[in-house]
Amino acid sequence: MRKEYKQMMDQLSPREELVEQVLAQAGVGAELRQKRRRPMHKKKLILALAAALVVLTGSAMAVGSQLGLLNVFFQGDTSGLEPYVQTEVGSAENEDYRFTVNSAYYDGMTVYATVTVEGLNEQAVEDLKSNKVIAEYHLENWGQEMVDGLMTSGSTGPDTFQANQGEITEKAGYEYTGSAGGGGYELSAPSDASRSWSISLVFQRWLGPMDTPMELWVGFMGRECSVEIPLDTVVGSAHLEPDQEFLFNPLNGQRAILTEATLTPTQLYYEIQTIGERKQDMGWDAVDYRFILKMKDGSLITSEQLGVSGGTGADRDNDLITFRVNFAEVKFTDVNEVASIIFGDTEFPLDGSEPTLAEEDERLYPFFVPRYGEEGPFYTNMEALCQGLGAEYIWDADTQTATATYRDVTVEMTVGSSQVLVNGEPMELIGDLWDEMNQEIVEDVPLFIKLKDGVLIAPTYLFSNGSTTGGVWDIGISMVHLAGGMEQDPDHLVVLA
Amino acid sequence: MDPTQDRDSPEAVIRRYSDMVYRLAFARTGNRSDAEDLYQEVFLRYLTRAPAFTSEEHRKAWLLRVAVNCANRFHTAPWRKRTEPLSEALSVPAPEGEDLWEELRRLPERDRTVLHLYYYEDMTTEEIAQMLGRNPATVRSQLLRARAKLKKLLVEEG
Repeated sequence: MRKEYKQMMDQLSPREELVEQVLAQAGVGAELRQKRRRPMHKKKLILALAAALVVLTGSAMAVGSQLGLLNVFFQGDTSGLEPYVQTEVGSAENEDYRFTVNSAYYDGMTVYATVTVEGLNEQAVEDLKSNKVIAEYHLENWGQEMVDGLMTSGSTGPDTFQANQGEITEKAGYEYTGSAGGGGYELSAPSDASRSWSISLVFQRWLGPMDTPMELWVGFMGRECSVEIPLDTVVGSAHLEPDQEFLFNPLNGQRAILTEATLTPTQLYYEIQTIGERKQDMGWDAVDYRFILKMKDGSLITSEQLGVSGGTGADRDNDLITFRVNFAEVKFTDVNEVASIIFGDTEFPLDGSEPTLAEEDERLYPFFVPRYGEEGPFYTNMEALCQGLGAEYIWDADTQTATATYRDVTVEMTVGSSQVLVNGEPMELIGDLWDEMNQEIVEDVPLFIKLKDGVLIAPTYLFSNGSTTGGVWDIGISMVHLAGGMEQDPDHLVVLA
Repeated sequence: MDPTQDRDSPEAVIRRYSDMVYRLAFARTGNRSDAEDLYQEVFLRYLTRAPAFTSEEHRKAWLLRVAVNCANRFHTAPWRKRTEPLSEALSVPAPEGEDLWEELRRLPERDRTVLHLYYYEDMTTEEIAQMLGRNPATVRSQLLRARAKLKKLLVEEG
């Protein structure tokens, strides 16, 4: 991985114009340093340097995929979302290329699309298939090194696809602070003369249906060949503005007011205002992106089961925090199936009725478990884990085997073995370990079930999402952060059921 | 004297460490626009606040540490106003090794920093720990877990 990482990074250099701007600052800075013998008014210093600062930006998205639109980004049954997928969205062409947006899906916060670029003459096809037209487009902003890299890799570059996210965000009445991210992959080529990609673009917040369409274009074709993706149709959503105080983080007692929340089958956006400054003690960030959906049939779906990922924004002056959560798993396709969202200790009905304290057994508060294994994957005390989850745990001292069952998944673990049985099926436990003597990582070594102080301990990745394999219990087990930063508690892990 | 001939001149230092600062900024932010902002801020601080360095290694370490500290504040700052043209969105890069880059971008920023310092700057975990003000064991643990996440993402995408 080191070699690949280095090769990848070696392609990146700042634009020459940026370097020149910084060097121009250096000229100003040198002057100011010489004048430092005399007292200098601070304001003049700031203005003098600010004059040399220009923020230049570009735009692009990187894309690719081997799978269909919904299958790229979501697991589970996505058939209920198909009616919201736009097909044959549009095309634009010049004398050499045709750009087509084949399909698109917008959930109010993220645009997902599949696109095709087709060469319309022999030379154009050759330049497309060889990646020359994509690579050479990057010369001006990225330099020859990037061009050479793209010619070698055959991949898209940062300026290959562009869109008008800023305009859309500002039309919606919000300050545009930049793209919240995106990505994608190249798909199988639909013909000998074309290439296809699936791409995603994430806004910083929920925007909902928009009259302003997204314009998407290929960098080397120019905006005059953009295709419009209507954003006026969004999969059904539920929106709340409860302004209700609740216990945001049970681990440290942080309270907050839920000011806004919008839920769709593929995302949740919510805003809170902390009561006072955000507490920074143990587990301060453990419940970011944490929520539980209570369905009308009485079942619960946790954020862990939805495979969430996301980002945050903060307005520290007003103690406001926004959470932008994308789901990897589709568990429902009609938001009307959801009765309420549980944040912390409070249940917020989606019909807008008064929030109430959630039932004790539905709060699924996070809890701490012991942490072991500093030189490799985390281990934890299985008895403590099962106790916290309310899972069944049976220990057989004669065979040194523990059998644990949670959410209908039974795991059988034997001390000294690196193989476990998951619902009767064998699974080998492997991971990377740190070799202290050689100061390097040793890859893919067997991980053994162990005894620690007479109690069975097992690698947590087996049970937790977001790990190398496993995640058999759809729970989250992660480090505990301390003191408002990323410093870890060496003795505990936090579990989200 | 040509300022670039003086190894300690601001111009020479900026040229010498331009790629290094930019690549760390890019690894941390995941996009060109933020990386450029961060790049400018790091060198602005160098020009106005750099101490007297005892060695070239000291200077390099200082620049890297400032880049990391600026990145930490960069993303916890109140919403930043941008002066870019409304018609343009931010870049999402795809250098060679597109799959690796796409999956790296899905990792948390703190993981990307540690991976970059370890894999690209060839720093030991002790050096990374000292730079980030953390326990070396913490850094090793973070590195292992970031690798594990990355491997999973790479496997999932085939």
